[in-house]
Amino acid sequence: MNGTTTIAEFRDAILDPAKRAHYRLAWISTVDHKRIAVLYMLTALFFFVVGGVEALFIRLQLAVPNNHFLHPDTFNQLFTMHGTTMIFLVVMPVVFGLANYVLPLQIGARDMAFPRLNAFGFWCVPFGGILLHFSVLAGGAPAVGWFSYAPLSETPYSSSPGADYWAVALFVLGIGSISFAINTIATVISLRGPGMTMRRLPLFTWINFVNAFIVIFALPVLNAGLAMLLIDRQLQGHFFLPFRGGSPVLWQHIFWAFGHPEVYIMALPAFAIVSEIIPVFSRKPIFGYEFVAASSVAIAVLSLGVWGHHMFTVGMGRPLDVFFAISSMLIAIPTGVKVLNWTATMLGGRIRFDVPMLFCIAFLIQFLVAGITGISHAVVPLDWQTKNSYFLIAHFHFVAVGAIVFAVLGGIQYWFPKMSGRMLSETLGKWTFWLMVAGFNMTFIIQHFLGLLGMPRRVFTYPDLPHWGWMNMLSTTGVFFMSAAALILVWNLATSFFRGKVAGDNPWNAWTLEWATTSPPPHENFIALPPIRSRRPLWDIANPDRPDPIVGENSAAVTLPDHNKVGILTFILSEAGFFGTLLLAYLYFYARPEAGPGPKELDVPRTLVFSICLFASSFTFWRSEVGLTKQRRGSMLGWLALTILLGGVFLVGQVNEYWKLFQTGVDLSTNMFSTTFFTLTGFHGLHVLLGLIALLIFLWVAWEGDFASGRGSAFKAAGYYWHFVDVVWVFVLLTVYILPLIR
Amino acid sequence: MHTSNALDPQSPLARAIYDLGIVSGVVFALIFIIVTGAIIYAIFRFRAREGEPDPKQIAGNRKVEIAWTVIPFLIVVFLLVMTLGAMNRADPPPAPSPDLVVTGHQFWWQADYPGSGVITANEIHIPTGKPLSVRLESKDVLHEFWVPKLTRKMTNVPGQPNHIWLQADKPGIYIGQCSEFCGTQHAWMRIVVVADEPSKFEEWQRAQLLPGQAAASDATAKGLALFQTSTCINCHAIRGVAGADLRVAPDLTHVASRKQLAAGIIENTPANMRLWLKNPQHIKPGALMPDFEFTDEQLDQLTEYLSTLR
Repeated sequence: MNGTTTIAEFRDAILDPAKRAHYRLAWISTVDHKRIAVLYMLTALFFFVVGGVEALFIRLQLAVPNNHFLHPDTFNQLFTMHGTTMIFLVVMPVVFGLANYVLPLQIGARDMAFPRLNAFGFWCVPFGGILLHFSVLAGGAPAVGWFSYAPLSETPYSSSPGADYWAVALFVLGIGSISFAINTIATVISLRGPGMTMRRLPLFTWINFVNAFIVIFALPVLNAGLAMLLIDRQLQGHFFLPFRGGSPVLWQHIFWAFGHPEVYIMALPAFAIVSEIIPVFSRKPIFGYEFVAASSVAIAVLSLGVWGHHMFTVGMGRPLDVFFAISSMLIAIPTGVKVLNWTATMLGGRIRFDVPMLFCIAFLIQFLVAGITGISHAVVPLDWQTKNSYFLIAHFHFVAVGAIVFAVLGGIQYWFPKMSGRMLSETLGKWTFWLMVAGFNMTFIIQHFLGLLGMPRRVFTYPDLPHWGWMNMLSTTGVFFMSAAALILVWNLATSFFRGKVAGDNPWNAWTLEWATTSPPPHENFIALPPIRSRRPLWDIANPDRPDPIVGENSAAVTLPDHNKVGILTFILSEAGFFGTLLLAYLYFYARPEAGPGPKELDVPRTLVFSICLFASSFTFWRSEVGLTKQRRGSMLGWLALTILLGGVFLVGQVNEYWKLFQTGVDLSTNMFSTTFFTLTGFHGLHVLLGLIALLIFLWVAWEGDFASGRGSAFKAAGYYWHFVDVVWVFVLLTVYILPLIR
Repeated sequence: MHTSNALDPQSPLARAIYDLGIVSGVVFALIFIIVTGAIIYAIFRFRAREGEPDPKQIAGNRKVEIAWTVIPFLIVVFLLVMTLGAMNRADPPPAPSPDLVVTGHQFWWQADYPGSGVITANEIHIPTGKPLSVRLESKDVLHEFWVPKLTRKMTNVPGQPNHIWLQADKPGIYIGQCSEFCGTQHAWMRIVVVADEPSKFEEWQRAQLLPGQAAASDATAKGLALFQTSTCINCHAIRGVAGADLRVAPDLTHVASRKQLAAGIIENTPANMRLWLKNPQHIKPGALMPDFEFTDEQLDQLTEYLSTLR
């Protein structure tokens, strides 16, 4: 890209027709984190309108009992699309967008660690969104709910391709999310400015950093599940089909092992925003930085072990019910600590009630309600009554809207001046705020009571039972207030962008580094960084008489880890989650043997020979790496070619094994063994193939003469991946081929 | 009017959950009042005024932090102890063999009484005062059995039978419905539980065991013939009618004794029965019963037959 422009220049430019075409292309091809962030947020805004209109239709249908406004199938498509859209195309893109904009600025970086990967991650969002919505033209949107419970989502019960588009779209979006998380982790670890130690990170950055790890652990689990669902639907597998030996409960385990961390993936960025805004508008540092930071880690760790509380009514058995009750209650503690710290930050402050702060105060109270009703779902018997009722709908909308959307709206009001150079209108912002407070609470408080009166979720209509009618009507009425709030927000964004008050560098008198540069920041963000010796560098500059105490060592020379290495290791971590899920699924069914082909069909000695080829290729790759380091071209090329050859031999062996199985009539659809076997080994083979392609590219590049030791970092990264693929095969070999021999 | 109000428990099982709800509700209310109180206090007490300098920069207090980590922990331990007790009261281990098997279908319920051999649909009769061990099954997708006044909810999982207890203290009608999304007509997969004094329940059970017997008339005979020669018999069972023993769809042996049709979407009157037979896809679009395009005369005969199957 030749010369990046700021948003202000862009704004001037689009008024000049001659420059328009150029700038449109510039935005599409951009790899600048600030522009990508804006694209993320605009995409989220677009889908927010789509998902909001879907919600409006849902509530119109439910306004009165026995309503015939919508066909039940239409209604079922609407709530499926509403949930999927709001989670994957609105909340995730908008919180990723905010982080994408603010995080590099806060640590004094010029951009994200991998700008092209950043663009790729963003473009997954519109691409996934289009795939999801294309289903409407291809025979109907998915109508199976946003968690797509099997076996309803399987071909016998959902024969239209809606569920296929749903799965493929989420797979694409998942890849986008993982690539953003990899980028975030590498950026924070490798690109911090001088003086910005890990202990001095602003909480917004710290919490988003922690959040990226949840993405790395959770999204691959979903992607593995989606792959299995697609294999069931497209290749006649049986993972989740009970009448062919599959397990619908396994889908629930996989989905919620992703799905509950997902709640925190959306909520932690909201915590991040609030942890930034409340101190600034209370004119005090955050109360208990270490506790807020540590509780985020605690939440991230615990979030991976609480998914079973979505399954208290599926019959997991008492021990598992109790385990997940305990873990789910424990996660309330770090969450509670956060709420108390935010409150304590306000106490003793000088609170300014600008719009960002108003949203954060509403966030605090509404999140408190969401948290409390959340605990009631960990109190298992209460969940036995309220699960799948409107009580649950009310609970998670208090999380998703009352907490997350409110925090994001506060965050947009707060950072819009930095992004555009102009303030959003405070008056219009207050209209949005009060209409949102009124509409949101009108819609969702009453739904707790509807649930207690026995109204289940996902019903397209309901009988005229006592109180149900007026309660639903009230709930629907609130939606109009929220719609008005959304319209005013869009109007505010559009008009303030062109005519808002000029913001200046630091309109809120805030303390973190993004306010130390111009609004909007120039290409590569900073002309010069201020000295960083505490968590609030701009406070220290503004208050030389009472600076913050120095945090930690103030050493100048710190070498940060190579971002290529951090990136590939994080990627490997996510791949481990993917293969781990496939392996566990294999073992799950291995533990319930059935008739038909099993591991006994496999030719173990022959596979061992091919495995040795693969393992040997790790050694040859290492030799090739040594060749590159020592600048011996022939050695590097030779060992690399041998690596590729060995990998190729392994693949030929696998193809041959498949062929022999097909000859004896065993294919993916034969039984549970064949479904799990072909899935696990097939995905491994696919990774070997991709690795080979990567190595071939290196071979070609080196052959052509681009052979400098400076390339070592990227070559090393490819090596890590290649070794990882071998390690996965160790586990597959032990599980699939060796384990049955031991039994 | 019958309700499905979880705040009005009518069995020891549902009451165990309700009592736990009250205790936790008090704890929750206290938490809410204290924290919101602190927030509101801060809003009014620490409002910024023009020209004031920034306040004292307090960055935290370790003792306070430890206190409000420990206090939530103690609350959680208390709730956990209460939870474990209530779990055992609301959901004791199953009996060796079930008194009742409830099977979910798209979009209706079958109820089997293994002790007596009664099989019926959508309307479950139980004797008062006696806990029934209920096995939950599914013939297709996931469903969920939820009658809030009487017991916990539980998913009907195909291939994995689940268990609940069901009990009612007093005679009455308790309603509920499927609470796990199961397809197009999930909304109209309602449950009616009729609790009767044990003697009355026995009476009902005896009547249900009799073969289906319509009023004797020319029209009902023609209706029966239609039932046998149209495709009805491929899915619906009527005990006493030769060949009518498939239960893909609700058992119709005593269909006229039930209060509602099509799992709760309309009251069971002869007029509604006729409407239903005429155009089921209009009344319950997506239900698995197709439109047959009977003539008016056929509709009269079939209605006459079915609505006298008491």
